[in-house]
Amino acid sequence: MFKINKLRVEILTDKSKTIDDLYGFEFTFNQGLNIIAGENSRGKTTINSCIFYAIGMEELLGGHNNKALDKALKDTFVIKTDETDEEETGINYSVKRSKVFLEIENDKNEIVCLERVILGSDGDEKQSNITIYKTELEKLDSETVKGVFFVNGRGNNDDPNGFYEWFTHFINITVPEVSNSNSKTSNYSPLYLQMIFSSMFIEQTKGWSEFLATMPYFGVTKPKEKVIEFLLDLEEIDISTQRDTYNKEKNNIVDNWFKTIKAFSYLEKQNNATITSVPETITTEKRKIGEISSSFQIKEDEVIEFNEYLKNKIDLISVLENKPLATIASNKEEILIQYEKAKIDYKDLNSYIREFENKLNIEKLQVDNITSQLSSIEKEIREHTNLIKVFSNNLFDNKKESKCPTCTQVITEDIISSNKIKIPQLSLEENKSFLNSQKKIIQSTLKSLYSTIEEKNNLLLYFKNTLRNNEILLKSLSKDLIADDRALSESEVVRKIQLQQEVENLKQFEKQLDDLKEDLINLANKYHNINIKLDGLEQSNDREKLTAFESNYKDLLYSFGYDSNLRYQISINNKEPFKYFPVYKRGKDDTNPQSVRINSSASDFVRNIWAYTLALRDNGINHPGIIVFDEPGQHRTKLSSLIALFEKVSNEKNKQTIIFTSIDKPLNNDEKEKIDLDELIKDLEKNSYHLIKLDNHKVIKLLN
Amino acid sequence: MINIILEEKPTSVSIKYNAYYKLVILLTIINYCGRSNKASLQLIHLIFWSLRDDKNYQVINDLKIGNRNTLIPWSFEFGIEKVLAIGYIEEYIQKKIVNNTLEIEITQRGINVLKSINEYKLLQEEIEKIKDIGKIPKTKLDRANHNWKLI
Repeated sequence: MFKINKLRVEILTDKSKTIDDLYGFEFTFNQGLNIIAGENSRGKTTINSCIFYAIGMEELLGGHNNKALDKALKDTFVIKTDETDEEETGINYSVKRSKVFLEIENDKNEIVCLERVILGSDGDEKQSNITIYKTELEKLDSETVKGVFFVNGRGNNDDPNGFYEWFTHFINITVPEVSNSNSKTSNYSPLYLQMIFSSMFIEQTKGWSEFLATMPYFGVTKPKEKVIEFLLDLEEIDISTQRDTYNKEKNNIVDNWFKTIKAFSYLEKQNNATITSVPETITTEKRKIGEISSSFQIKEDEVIEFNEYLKNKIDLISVLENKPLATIASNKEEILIQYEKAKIDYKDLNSYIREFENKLNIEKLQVDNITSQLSSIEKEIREHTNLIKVFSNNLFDNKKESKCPTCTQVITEDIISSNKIKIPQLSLEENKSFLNSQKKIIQSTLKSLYSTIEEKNNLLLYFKNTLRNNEILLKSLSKDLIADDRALSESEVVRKIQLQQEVENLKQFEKQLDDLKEDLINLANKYHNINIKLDGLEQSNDREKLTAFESNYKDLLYSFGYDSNLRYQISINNKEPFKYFPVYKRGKDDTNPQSVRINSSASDFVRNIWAYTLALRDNGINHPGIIVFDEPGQHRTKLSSLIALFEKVSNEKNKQTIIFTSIDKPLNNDEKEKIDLDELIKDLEKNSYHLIKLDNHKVIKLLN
Repeated sequence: MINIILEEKPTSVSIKYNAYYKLVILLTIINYCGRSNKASLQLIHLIFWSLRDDKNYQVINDLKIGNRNTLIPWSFEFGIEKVLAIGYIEEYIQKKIVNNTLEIEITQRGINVLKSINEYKLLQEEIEKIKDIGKIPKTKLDRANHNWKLI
């Protein structure tokens, strides 16, 4: 558990006369409820984002390092000169360097101060480092013991120099290992802190759109479930991690199975055979694998089994062997017939091959064309990225009024459109993503083209081999025809040699087929074992914890004025889909639970997130204790609901809640209410909250 | 009544039609191919044409290193007038009359832009290609231009 004591931001500007002349802000936070209230665009979100940034959670805002922060902290800000002035006029300050300090305290009353640079003035000040001082913010000086830890790097969650590793120790939680598909060394990674914090820090824009909406992707399997399992300390987390690993192994086996099945079809094509009874899905039945057999087509309508085919060939050889070597004269008639037949076969095959090769060449040409298209698209994408960078770095200093000084004709960067015809075009970014999707299509086309070409190349090889055999036979036949009648017939010898070769090939084929079958049996064994392991996993006993969590969540939900559905229709689902999340069921026995988001009005869904987040803290044994809500009054929330929320969290005196809220903002509901701060805190106990009211100024001002 | 609303859908257009992209190329051409920071319109158009594809580039490259002294039929670059206009307005370039012909001169502002683009190592692929062409003597260019061959 931890809480935030103090937040301080220091900015050195171009108008600072000395380096002590600092701008920024400083706020103190208490245990219990803290309310930061102010009109729109006073800087509430700036304060909030600084808290995220200081503890290395800026990824939840959608960016690494200071990209997630407002420009007022790293670029320029304005301080109004005239208070009554409604316009945004005032003095412009440009930021030279800036940093944020955050004082936090854990439940052992250890106080530390975190320092992180937002905009550094030299290369040594890295945004990806957080410096930790073992003292309070006020007592900070150069003597203080400190340590530097990094964020946003490889291994930042488990490296001893990583900030998150330190942070988990400080807030005294032990993060579990979970299965992770991104991990290169093992199949596991720690449950990342950023994932856990997405259940506690609800950010203004995306945070209210879904449960744990801002969770970054790290490759953890079923990430949201894992976070809930961890927070509620469910037994399931270890079992489910084990299950994920087994499942991954299982998928691997199934993948290999299909690869092996594919190998059958290659083998088929190489040998012009037909392999039948190949099981299409993975099976553990040995008989089914044993049924795989091959057959050969000998005539248009006659197919024979492998063994028979092989036997025929061997028989033919023995017939030839037993026959005394015939002279040509005795055999002439037959040789002539054979010669004619072989000639026709040869010609047919030859023309077929030529046609086949032509088609194949066209496909190869296609590949060349598409490859060159791909490279030109890639080049275009590169240039787009470059030009976007040119603009984002402001390399063309401020663009002037784009009008021709002589004829006042408007000049734009669009050079296709003319005065009369305007051609709508995609912007650079849009065009880049368009090109990227085009690139993906081309890549997938290329991939499938490559695989068909490879297949056809194999076929061609087979055809050409056959053709060569035909050629040799034909040659020997023709030699026999022109040779002396008394000589011995050569064609029979050739025929015998060819037959022997064929038999050799067939034996090879049989061996390959058996090998593949053996592979399948091995895979089936593995598959069987993994299934036994999966079935053998214990059933977790989390029912009690989940029931308590569910009833607390529902109490909270209805106390906030949820009325989209009746109480019995809402429950926390304990199995897929939406495991551990609220679902809507029409009746008790409804087997198709639906997402509560779809079945609630927009404001009721926001109430859902309030209730869910708070219930996670109430029931979460491993919860770090702090909750931050940015602008909970979303959509058509009623003022009475907000009052209920404030009341609930103000009663929680031992845990810190920080709520940022607008005031005088119309709530946009039927009663035309506004968020009235006095109304909100009217009924709260006097000392049960800490109010920070932002005045009419922007939050950044001269620090004293 | 049925209301038919026609919605214009934006199309994907090559970066070659982006005026600022062209402006960078233009500045690069004047800077590296022109003499004393000035380039004639003919030279600008010709280099732009050579960047269209590898074959064109080969022709110009051959001309430069003396492998050929002719040109193949080439064409003007589309939309240069608008790019020039932006350049004039933003004061990256200015007009100069040299020997009774109009030449475009790159200003200090323009050179600065190029410098910062190079510092960030952006668009280097095209810029390097232009650098490689470098300066081609005017007389050589004129002679080749009077002597077109089909290939």
